[in-house]
Amino acid sequence: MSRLAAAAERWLAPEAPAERLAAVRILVGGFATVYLTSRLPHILSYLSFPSRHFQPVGVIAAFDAPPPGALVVVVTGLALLATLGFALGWRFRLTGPIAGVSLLWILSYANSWGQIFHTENGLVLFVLVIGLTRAADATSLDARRRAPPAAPAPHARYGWPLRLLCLVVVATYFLAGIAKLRWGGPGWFGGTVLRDTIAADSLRKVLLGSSHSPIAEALLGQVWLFRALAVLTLVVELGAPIALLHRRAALAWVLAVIAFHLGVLVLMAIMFPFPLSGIAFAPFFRAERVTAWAAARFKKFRARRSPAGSEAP
Amino acid sequence: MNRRAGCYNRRVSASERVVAWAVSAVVLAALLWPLSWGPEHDSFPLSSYPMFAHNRTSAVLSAIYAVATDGDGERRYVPPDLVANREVLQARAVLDRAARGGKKGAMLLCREVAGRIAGQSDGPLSGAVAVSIIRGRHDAGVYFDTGALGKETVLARCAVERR
Repeated sequence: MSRLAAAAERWLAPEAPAERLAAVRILVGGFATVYLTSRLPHILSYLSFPSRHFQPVGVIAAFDAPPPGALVVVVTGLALLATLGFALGWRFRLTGPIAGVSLLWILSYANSWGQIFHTENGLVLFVLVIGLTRAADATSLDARRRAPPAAPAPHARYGWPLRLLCLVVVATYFLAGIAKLRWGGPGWFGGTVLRDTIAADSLRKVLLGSSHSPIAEALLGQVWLFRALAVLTLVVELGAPIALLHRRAALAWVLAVIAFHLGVLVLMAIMFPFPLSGIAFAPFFRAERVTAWAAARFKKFRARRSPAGSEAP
Repeated sequence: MNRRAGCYNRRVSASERVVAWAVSAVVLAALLWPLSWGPEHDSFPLSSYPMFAHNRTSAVLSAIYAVATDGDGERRYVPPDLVANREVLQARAVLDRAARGGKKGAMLLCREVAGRIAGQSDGPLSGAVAVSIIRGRHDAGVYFDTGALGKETVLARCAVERR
């Protein structure tokens, strides 16, 4: 192998502790389970949609007509159980891929009615990638079942999925920035495109009987503000690759992205729950510290509640 | 390069290496594929993220929306859950598609919305007697300054028939 290829492989597949990938699995799987549960009314609402509104996308494009309601209900139930198993690391060789495929299927179905919710792209890609890896080698029910229960040593097999997830995040924001340059043109830098987009979006919400941001309405006259926000948006999106350089650079970029999403929430009343939760950025950091902290708190809580624990010398 | 880094991936088996490269290559290629798409094309979960990327030259908005009218002629915008579901963007997609279906499409949706309103015994639309599907062209800047709307065209109008 040439030195260049070896260096590329070292970067793409660095050694990482099994607990780090496991922590990302727990966070992403837990988020997917909660998100899917909260979106059940939304997903199942499409069962009563007239078929004339069906515009299949992604894996659902294989269907000429809406899939049968019973199939939708079964796959939704399967996705819920599989994402829970995914989070717990239970029979992960099975639940991992099933969670990825079923989540992809059911969210593609919910996006097949003329409106694509870009808030869900990252979550699906994360579950698909993690489901194909050895993310349950530690901190999982599978690991507890195995003997001996010694934690596996750090290995590249736990590092490459994390690096790939970082690349997925970076590529997503970078593509959004490229789209603004390609189709928005230089007008995007002037701020008027962003201001007019937000104004039109707010009016659309009024006309559609929904709530819009009163803050955006109050700020529409401040063109300088929208100019600054437009430049910051492009800097954050096109500057995404900086997060791959160093953990501190990643932290700075992630804070900027979360601020950007908070801005979108405040000005456009559009919520991106996966990035706003911070879980989308877990692969950039030592995520195992979060699960270790949570486990320690849980142990403490159990010890306090258990009478045997309180009587122990 | 330190010693550890030099033998970094020696313990990675050939099969694991193939899986890692294959999955990484497929995922990254799939993510970059939308770069070849035009601004009108989108998909899921792969996307070129065309929303908000268009070169909007003004705050003028062309939109399709549903308006309920009560016995006194007072107008109320019909909320998303009576058009489609709770998602405002889904309601927009349903209205746009109905309008693309011409008068027939707009009337079909108008009757569906009127039926849902008729099923409501209370709430802000309980006094509605008619529903209109409207195509409007409004300047958002003017609206938020003065409250004035622009030009409206009624695509379909139907009665709310309560039993």
